Amino acid sequence: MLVFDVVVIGAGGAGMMAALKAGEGNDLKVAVLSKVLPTRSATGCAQGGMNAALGNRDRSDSTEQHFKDTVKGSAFLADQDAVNFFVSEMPDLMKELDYMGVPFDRDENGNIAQRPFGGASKPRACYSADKIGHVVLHALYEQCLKNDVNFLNEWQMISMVVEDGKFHGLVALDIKSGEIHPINCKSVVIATGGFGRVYYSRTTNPTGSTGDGTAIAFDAGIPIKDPEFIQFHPTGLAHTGILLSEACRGDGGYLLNNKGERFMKKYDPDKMELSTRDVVARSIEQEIKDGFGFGEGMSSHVLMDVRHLGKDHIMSRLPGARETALIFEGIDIITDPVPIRPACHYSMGGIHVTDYKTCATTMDGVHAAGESCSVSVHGANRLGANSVSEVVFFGKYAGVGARDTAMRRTLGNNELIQKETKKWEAEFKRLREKKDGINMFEIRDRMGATMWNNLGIYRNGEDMEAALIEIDQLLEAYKDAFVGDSAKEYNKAFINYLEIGNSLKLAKAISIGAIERKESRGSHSRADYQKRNDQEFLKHTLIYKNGEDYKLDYCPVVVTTYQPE
Amino acid sequence: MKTIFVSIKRFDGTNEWYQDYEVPYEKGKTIVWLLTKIREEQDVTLNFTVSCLHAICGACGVKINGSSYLTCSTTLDEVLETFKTDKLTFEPMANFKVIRDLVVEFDPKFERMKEVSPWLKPASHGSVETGFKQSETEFEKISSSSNCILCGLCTSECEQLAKNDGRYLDPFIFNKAYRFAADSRDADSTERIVASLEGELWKCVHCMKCTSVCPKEIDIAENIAFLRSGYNLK
Amino acid sequence: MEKQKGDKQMKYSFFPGCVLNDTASELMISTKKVAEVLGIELVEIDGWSCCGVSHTGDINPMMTHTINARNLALAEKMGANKVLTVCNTCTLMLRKTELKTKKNDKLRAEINASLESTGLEYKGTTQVTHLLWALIEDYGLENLKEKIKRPLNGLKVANYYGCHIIMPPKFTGFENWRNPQSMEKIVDLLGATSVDFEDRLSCCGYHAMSTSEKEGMRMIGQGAQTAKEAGADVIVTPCPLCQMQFDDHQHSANKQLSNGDNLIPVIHLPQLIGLALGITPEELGLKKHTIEVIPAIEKALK
Repeated sequence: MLVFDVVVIGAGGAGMMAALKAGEGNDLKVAVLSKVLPTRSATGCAQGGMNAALGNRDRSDSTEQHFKDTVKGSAFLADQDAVNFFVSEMPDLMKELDYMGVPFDRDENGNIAQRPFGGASKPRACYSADKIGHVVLHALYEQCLKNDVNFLNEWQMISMVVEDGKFHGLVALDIKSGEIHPINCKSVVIATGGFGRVYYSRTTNPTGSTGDGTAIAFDAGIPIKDPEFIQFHPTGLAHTGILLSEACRGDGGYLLNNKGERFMKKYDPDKMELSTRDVVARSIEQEIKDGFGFGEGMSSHVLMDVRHLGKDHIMSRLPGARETALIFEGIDIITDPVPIRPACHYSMGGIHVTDYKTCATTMDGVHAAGESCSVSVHGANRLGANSVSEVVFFGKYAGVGARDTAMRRTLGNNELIQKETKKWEAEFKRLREKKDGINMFEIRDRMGATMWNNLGIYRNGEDMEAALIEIDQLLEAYKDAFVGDSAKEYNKAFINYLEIGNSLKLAKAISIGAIERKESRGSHSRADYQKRNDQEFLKHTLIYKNGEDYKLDYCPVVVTTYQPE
Repeated sequence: MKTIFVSIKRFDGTNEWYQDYEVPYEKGKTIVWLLTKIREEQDVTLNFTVSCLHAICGACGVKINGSSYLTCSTTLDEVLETFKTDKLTFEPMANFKVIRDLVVEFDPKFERMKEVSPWLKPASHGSVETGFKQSETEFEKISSSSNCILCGLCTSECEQLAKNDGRYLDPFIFNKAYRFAADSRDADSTERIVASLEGELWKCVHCMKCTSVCPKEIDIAENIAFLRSGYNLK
Repeated sequence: MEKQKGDKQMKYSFFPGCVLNDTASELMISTKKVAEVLGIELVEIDGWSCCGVSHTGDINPMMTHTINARNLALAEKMGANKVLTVCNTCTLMLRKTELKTKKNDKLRAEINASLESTGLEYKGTTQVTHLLWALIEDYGLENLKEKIKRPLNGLKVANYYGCHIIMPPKFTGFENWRNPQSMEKIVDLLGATSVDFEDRLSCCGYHAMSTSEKEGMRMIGQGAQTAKEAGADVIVTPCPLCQMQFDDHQHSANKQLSNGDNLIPVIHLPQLIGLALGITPEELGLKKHTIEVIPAIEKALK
């Protein structure tokens, strides 16, 4: 049996940082499990920048202002002690990243360059062209190679072994060989990323963003916090959900409905297209609802028009956006407007982290970091450029926390881990031998459509209740889901099966949280409860899963210096 | 054109064969759309890797009609037009060990990549506490080579790798060596250059295939020449 | 891209490149003969020097730009607006300098600082081309067709492009590097048949023969083999370096790979065109090849 002191699940920004810190300066056996090669992780998709109050671009910036912007942006649902911790130490972490070799753009003083970004009172997004995620991800991977981090690549975590609320170990599948392995360890860091693929076809996220770690922790009895808060990016390409750079709006692009009108004048006549992400996203959806969009159903869209900016501007300032539109929509934005529609972009909610300094959860031995968890730093709405910062920051502290936990805890019970392993070996075999059943891709597509239509940008109680019924039906159908590939080695269809199961559980958690939150706050916008209600809902949603039972609870938001306004 | 005739090289760990599929043509689609359609509607046993779907993660390299592409950001029209055909033949990227169908093994390449110390060796003018100062010009020197997404298309096209007995390092590994050798924050490149030399740096034939295929437009062949000449390096 | 009937570019500044003087003298002969018959004037650049053959780029990239900028500056001095070459690598080396300096005034200034002592200034006003491109975009295939006296029906050719005429596309830029068709168009026009062979776009290994001889032999051996297996009578190439590889080393390569004794002849593009224009094989230097050419061609054309 594989035995480690610390196991990290997920090799993105949070996971690799956790692995580096867990193994630094000690003899602990650390392993990283990743279902994809580390540099394929979603962290690499982040584009704009990462926030830190360095004051390089504007000396008058401060961690206090970063704090305020983050808390305000979160619609006051963020835990202010955690936010304070994050913003205060983030500048130091930037130096460390520089020392690791992350190639940042520089200013005229040779310092890390910073740019303005949405919701930030001062320009503090440290950038590297439009590829901050890519450069950070690769630098972390390079450091992992330097430190001989033990990677188990293309391994899928299947289950956490828990008995009576005590964490014992893990069960994981080596995708290449098809062997299912028991893993004994003293602590684990779950860093498996977000779950945008719950909104299957309308998301900017990679194909593997199915929240596997979050769902497995959920299954193990650890609650999910604030799942209902999903950030929708206004400009995803209509047919694929691929992100169309925010720079198109920033540079003066127009959003047009089927009458050729710049419809933003109905929703925010002052800022027009430069309104905040959530307002623009809602406006687009409203236009479509009211019949002023193009197309129908899942193909509905509006248009982004930048033709008036001229060929020169587009070729020099928006070449990436032009390239994206050409490849993925077949449209040249120099000559034609491009179809766009909001897409699910980020999951504010996730595994409930109880201690922001160690990233511990409700279960001893289990830590979580990155988009897979909720600390909560982003509350009801994340600021742009806060994500990459947050994942490497809490990845670091999760790694240190997991290291300390491993030094304190003992290994789990081998027999229990073996038993769970045998159970999954049998299940894998059963599914490989199953000859027919319900098409799992159809289940997935129905889930995606239901979530988009009923738990999207505009919500109301009736539609959400209908969604919950549908999700329950899909969970039932899933029991007879058909994998269709009998191979043991490299059975990606089986992985898809697990991913769809994980997504369904998260979809249900999202639905319950959204239904019960009878207010509008941040990214959660309800037609039937349009106001923010601090009296009743300045609190975090917690969803617990016990077998097929989902239970709702709440826990307080930590407010320190910034009273909600 | 109504139908695309697709032939995909399959491999199940033991047997190798070409399997044929037919897909009705649709305008404005990418290659990954084509493969996904086949997989989800006709044959779920077909394996290929994708992740981000927008050419930043490097997961989706394949060979189509003998030339290497990223499936996510290559349009169907582009390939049909290039080869003036309605028949597309898919194979896994060349110069890799094949795991299954179009899925190839990267880990051994990453192991070899360690030979050139593909990480920053921090120079003494920086520290963990202060980071580094670096000028805009110095950043420019590493900005292109840092764009590498480890997609492997250069490996797939490399003429030397195709004929070499196994000592030669992949083009992307030389690129990494250069990326750090050219970084003003790096301490010393001697080890990396020696490792590159031992990795048969001077066997590159300058065919330019790596530079031509790179989806991030890195001039890998030029970086190899820079490694040889020491231009821009310490 | 393609020239229409009528208007043809008639005069070029000619950059022969080193090998045409000696080892590939048959290419000098055939190029000049073909140009004469087609009415193309080639004025050799006075004082040209070696382009650096890729290798100088491995020693000193700036110097490489400078020597090629000097070559182009000499052409500018002659009042040329286009420089024509018949070697792939010369084309790439000159094109690289031409295109890099077009986008980069700082680079051109740096180069001109080096050139100052020669009294030359590189202005960036000439365009570099290769005979293969010039025939299509300047001369016009329709015009070329009119000059054909001896259609090469029955001759099967393996078009071996050679890397540097197609890559990297940001410098060559004439056609799609993944599936170039310029040679096929010309061969078709000349009445011959292009065969489809696996190594049409492969590398001949010329630029690493001193450090990578073993692999180079494999490249030559395989290239010749797939051409033969596809039924080609002859390999034709627009690059004298590729031609040298196949002509000089095919025998050794065959031995190394145990590919048998059958040698396939390899000729230069102007020689193929020259045959179709009615020029005799002797006048095209076809007797100067290592691997005998004339019997194979005569047999195919019967």
